[in-house]
Amino acid sequence: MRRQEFIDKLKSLLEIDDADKTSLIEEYESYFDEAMADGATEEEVIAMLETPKEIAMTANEEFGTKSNSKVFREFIDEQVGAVRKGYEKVIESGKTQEVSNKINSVISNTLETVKESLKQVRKSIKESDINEKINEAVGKVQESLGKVKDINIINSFDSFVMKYDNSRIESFDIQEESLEVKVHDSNSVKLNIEVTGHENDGIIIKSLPTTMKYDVSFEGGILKINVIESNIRYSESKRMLILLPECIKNLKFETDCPIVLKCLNLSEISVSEGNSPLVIKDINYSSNVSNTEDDVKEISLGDITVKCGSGPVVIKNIKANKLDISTENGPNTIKTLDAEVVKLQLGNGPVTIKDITGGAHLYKIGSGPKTIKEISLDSLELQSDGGILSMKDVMVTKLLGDIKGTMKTLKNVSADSFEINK
Amino acid sequence: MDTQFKKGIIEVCVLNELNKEDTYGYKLVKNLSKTLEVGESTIYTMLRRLTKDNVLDLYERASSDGPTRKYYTLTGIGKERLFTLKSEWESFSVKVNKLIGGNK
Repeated sequence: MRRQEFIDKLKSLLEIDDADKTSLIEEYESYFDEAMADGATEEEVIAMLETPKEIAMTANEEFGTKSNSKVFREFIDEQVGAVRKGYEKVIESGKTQEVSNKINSVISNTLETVKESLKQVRKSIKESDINEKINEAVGKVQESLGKVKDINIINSFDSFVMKYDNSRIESFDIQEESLEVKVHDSNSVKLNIEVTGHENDGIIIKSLPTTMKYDVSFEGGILKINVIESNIRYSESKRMLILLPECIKNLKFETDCPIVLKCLNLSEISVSEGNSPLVIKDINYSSNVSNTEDDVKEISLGDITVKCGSGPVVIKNIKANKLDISTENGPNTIKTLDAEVVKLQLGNGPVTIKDITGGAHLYKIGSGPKTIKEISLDSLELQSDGGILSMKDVMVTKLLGDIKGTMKTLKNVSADSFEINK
Repeated sequence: MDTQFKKGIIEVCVLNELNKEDTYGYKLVKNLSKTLEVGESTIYTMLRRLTKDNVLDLYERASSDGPTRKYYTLTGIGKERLFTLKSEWESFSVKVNKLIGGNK
């Protein structure tokens, strides 16, 4: 091997910052210069030195923190995954309260340990041996999460779960009666927080994506989200995404900011002061099963109420028993609904209603342009306050219409009973 | 030997050498490897880290017969650190000697 080959090889193996790399390579170049000035050949110098592989190992270990944090992340993700699996099992078994009491103390201890470990990791960054400190921290977390596992996590978990995607936990703080978690969202594109809380505990989650400020609080089974500030433009991928656990039945929402709600199970959503874009999707409320004493399963279907202002509204992929949606004058898109009883009261903005199935629906729509298509219902009562109306592929048993105003295009519309007042 | 322990010893030796006189990487490696069994990469990465931690500073000086060399020098922090490490080492080695000596 020659000098240039040696240097190139070394460069290719170093996984460290450019500044560190430059400094190290300069030292090796100067080693060659000095040793050769003393009379050594390139080959002889190479024989004196460690191999590029050995050098890179030393340097990568010293400066390359990437791999360490990756190891740490992977470990945490793995643990979180295990916790999540356990939680799902508990929800299935219905023994949440019993289990939550049992596990509470362990959780507190674990979080205390995690907090302490993270403190140490942060502190160690100022110090020299990051490697060792991180390993130590991982060890401690591992130990305490091991304890969680010991209490048979498969059948016994009801606490909180966090998923994070390119985010990192900034701190855990256990206040007197509540848990506070701060999440720093490093890429500010996607932040998922999943809280599976106990109704009896106060859980506060403060999430800090760089472009948005909001408070989330959870008390007595009600989740409240207060968005204080958002600089995020209207783009679905860049908005706050909140996944709600099944135990939360009521959501109060105070915001003027763009929001995407992705809810598992909700009976009521109310959006106050909301003239900003709103998207609600993937709500499925058809499988709320409760066991009675006689072990007869009762299935109760949920009622969903959505009230929002004049921002653009998208409501899609909803399965519910009863759905009551009212909006003001913004553009509205209602898509892929399956609901027995639906009442829509929409303002004067452009409206698209598409891919709807169910029982009896009532649509009261303002004077904007309307497109209604791919509808399959028992009965549809349509009240329209003017504007262009286009109906296509509509199949209903009974159609009752009170349509004022201008242009109407009806294509492939069929009904056993048909009554339209123009 | 435990690597952290070894690193600590090497660090105190590096600082001590530089306390005697400012010097450049190649010379330091040559001097230290006479006594210590240590690869040059350990010394180079340590020099870099200590520079980043403001324990060492760098300046350039032209040599009479060759290229411009980068000289390492102890900063104020470096001098304090050397003092601390040295006294720690002395107290440690006294204790260890006592322990080992008592075993005779």
